Amino acid sequence: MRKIGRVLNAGLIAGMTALLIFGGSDLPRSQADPDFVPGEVLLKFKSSVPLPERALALAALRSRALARISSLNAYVVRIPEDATVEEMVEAFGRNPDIAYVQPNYIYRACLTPNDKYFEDQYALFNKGQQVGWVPGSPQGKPSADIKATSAWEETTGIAGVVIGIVDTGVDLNHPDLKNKIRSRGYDFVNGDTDATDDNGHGTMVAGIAAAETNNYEGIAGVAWNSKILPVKVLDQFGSGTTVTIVNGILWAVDNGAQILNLSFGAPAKDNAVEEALKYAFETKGVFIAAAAGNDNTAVYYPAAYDRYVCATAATDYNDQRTTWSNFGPEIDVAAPGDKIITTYPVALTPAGFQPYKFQDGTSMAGAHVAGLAALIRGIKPSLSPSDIMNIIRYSADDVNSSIHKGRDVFIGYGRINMEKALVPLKIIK
Amino acid sequence: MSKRRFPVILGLLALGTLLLRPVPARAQDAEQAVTRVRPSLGLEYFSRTIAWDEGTSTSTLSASIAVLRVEAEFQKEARLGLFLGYGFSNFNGLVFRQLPFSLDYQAGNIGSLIWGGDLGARFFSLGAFEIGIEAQFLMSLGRTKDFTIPSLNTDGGLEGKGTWSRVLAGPVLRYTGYENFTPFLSVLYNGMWGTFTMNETIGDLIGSEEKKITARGPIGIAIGTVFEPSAMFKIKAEVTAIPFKKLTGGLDTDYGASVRAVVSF
Repeated sequence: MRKIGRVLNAGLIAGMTALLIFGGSDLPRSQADPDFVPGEVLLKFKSSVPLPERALALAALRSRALARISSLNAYVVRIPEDATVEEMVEAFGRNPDIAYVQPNYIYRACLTPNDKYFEDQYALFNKGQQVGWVPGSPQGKPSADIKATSAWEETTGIAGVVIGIVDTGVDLNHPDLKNKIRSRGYDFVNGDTDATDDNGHGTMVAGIAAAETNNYEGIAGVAWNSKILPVKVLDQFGSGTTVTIVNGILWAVDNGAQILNLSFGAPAKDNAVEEALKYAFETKGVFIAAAAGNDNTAVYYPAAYDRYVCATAATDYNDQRTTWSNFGPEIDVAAPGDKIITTYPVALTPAGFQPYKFQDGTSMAGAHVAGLAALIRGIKPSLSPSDIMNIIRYSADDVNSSIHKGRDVFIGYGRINMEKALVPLKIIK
Repeated sequence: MSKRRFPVILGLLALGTLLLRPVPARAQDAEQAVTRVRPSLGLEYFSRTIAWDEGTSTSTLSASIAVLRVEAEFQKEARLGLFLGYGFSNFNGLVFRQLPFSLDYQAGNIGSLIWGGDLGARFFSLGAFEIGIEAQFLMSLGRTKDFTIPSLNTDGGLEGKGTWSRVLAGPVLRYTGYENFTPFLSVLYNGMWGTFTMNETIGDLIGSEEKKITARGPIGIAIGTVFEPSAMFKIKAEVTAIPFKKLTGGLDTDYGASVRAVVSF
C-alpha cells in the first residue's frame, strides 16, 4: 500500500510540476501580423519521413507537436518562446523533409448580404469584379474597398440612428428604401411635408448610406438598420438656395437626425450655412459628411467648413483618387465615388429598367462616410461628432502613400476603412 | 474584489485564526502554543473562465504565481500563513467596446504583486481519516503595462492594468495512513473578482474603460498530496477542477495546479 502510494505521490507531483512549467507559459505574439495564431505554425512532413525523424526535426528547432490533423498528415506545432512565427516558418522551410510549413492563419467570418446587386458594389467588397454592366467595363482591384463585410460582423447599425439626407429629396416608395424612411420629411423647395425626390440625386445618396439590406432586393446600404430622414432643399434641377439649405439643416437636426449628409456645394463661403452647421455640430452633436466637389478645384463649401464637416474626396475601384475630385487641406478622407451602383427613383426610371443606376461623384463618396458614421454612432452613442470624425480619419487607409505619405490634400487621411473603425483592434505584445 | 469585501475577508481571516488557535491550559503550554514557524516557496498555475460586461461575455484569465510564504503552526491543530510574491496574469480575450477605438486584448501576461494569507485547522479524526477546514485570501495587484496600437494612421498609446482577488474556503478530507505522504480531497468555495482598466489615447481621442470580471463557477474540487520525506521538508501538490455553466448552455471545467515546498526550522 505504501509503495503504491509513493508511486502515485511522485507521479502527481511530477505531473503538476510539469503543468506549472508548461501550462503556465505564455508565448510571445508576432508583432508583424496579427492575422495568424501566435506561437504556432502548421507543417506537413513528406510521407516518406518516419515518425522518429519527425520528432527529431521538431526537437532540433525546440518545437513540439500540439495536435495532428490526421487526414492531412499535418501537425500544429508550438514554437519556442523566443522565436517569431516568421522566423520558424523560414527555419522549418529549410528542412527538405517538410512538404510545407505556414502560419496557422486566422480566418474571420464576413457578413455578405443577399441583395441582388451586391456583387456590383465594389465599394463595399471589391474582389476584382467588373465595375458596370456595359460590356468592356473596367475591373476593380481586389480589396480596393471600404471593408464593409468584415465590419458588418461587428454591427449593421440600429434604427435609433437617423441619417438626414439634405438633398433633392428621396423616393419615399422605392422598394429598397421605403422601409427605411423615418418620415415623409420636409420639402423646403415647395414648402410642404412631402420630400419626394424629383431629381434622383438624393435617392442615390440615401441608398448608398442606408438602403434596406439583406432583403434580396437591389443594393446593400452601409448602415443596414439606420433610418433615413429625407429633407428636400434642392429642386428638380439639383439647385438650392442659402435659405432652403439652412432651413433644411436646422429642420433635420431638430427632428432627430444624428448624422447629416450634405452632397452639394458651392465655391463661396456662406455665413448662414456655416452658422446652421455650427448649431448642428456644437449644439445638437450631429456628425456632418459633405462632398468635396467634382471639378478638380478647391474644396467646395460646406465641405470646406473644416471644423464642423467631414470633407470627403472620391476614389475609384483601384483605390486611386478620381481625376475630378476636388482637393485642398480641408479634405478629411476619401471614399469610393466612381461608378457606384445605387438606388434611383422609380418615377424617373425608364420603363423596363430597374430603379438602380451607376453614378459618379463625391456625393456618392460622402454617403459612404455618412453610413459609416451612423454605424459608429449606433455602437458608441456617447461619442461626440469630433470623436466620430477622428475615428473615421485615423482608421482610413493611406492608399496613396507611395506618392503622398500621410495626410494630404487629395484624399486626406486616406480611403475609409470600416473594419478598422468598427471591429475591435487586436492589442498584441 | 469590491472595496467593501476586502476588509471583511481580512477580518474573517484574523477571526478564524483567533478561534482556531488552541487555548493553552497552562502558562508553560502558552510558550509552546506556536510550535513551528516555517517558510515555504509556492508555485501555482490556474486558468479560470471569467465573465464580464455584466455576465454577458466570457474569456479566460490564466495566472502563474510564485510566492514566499511564512507559516505558523499551532500544536499541529491549526496554522496561519502569510505570503508575498510575484505573478503573471493573462487577460487575453477581454474586449473593450466603449473606448473610441474598440480593442481586443491579446497581449498576454502582465506582471503583478501577489499577497495574501491562509489558514487551516483540523476538526476531528476518524481512524486514518481526518477532516479539517482551509481558507485563503489572495490578491494580485497588476502593474500598468503600455501597448502600442497597430495599423492606425496616427500615433497612439494604451495602458492596461488588471487587479484581481480570490477567496478559497471549505472542508478538507485527509488520509493519514501513509508514513511520508498524506493525500487529500477538498471541496472549496473558489470565488474570484477583479477589474481590468484600459486607457486609450489616439491622436485627439481619449477614453478609459473598466471591466469588472467575475470567475464562473463558485465551487472547486481539489485533490492532492503532502509528501514529507523528512521532518524539515515537505512538498504539497494539488490539482483543482472547477465546473461551471457556460453562457451558451452546458457545463465546462476550469483547471489549476499548485506545488509548494515547505522548509521547517
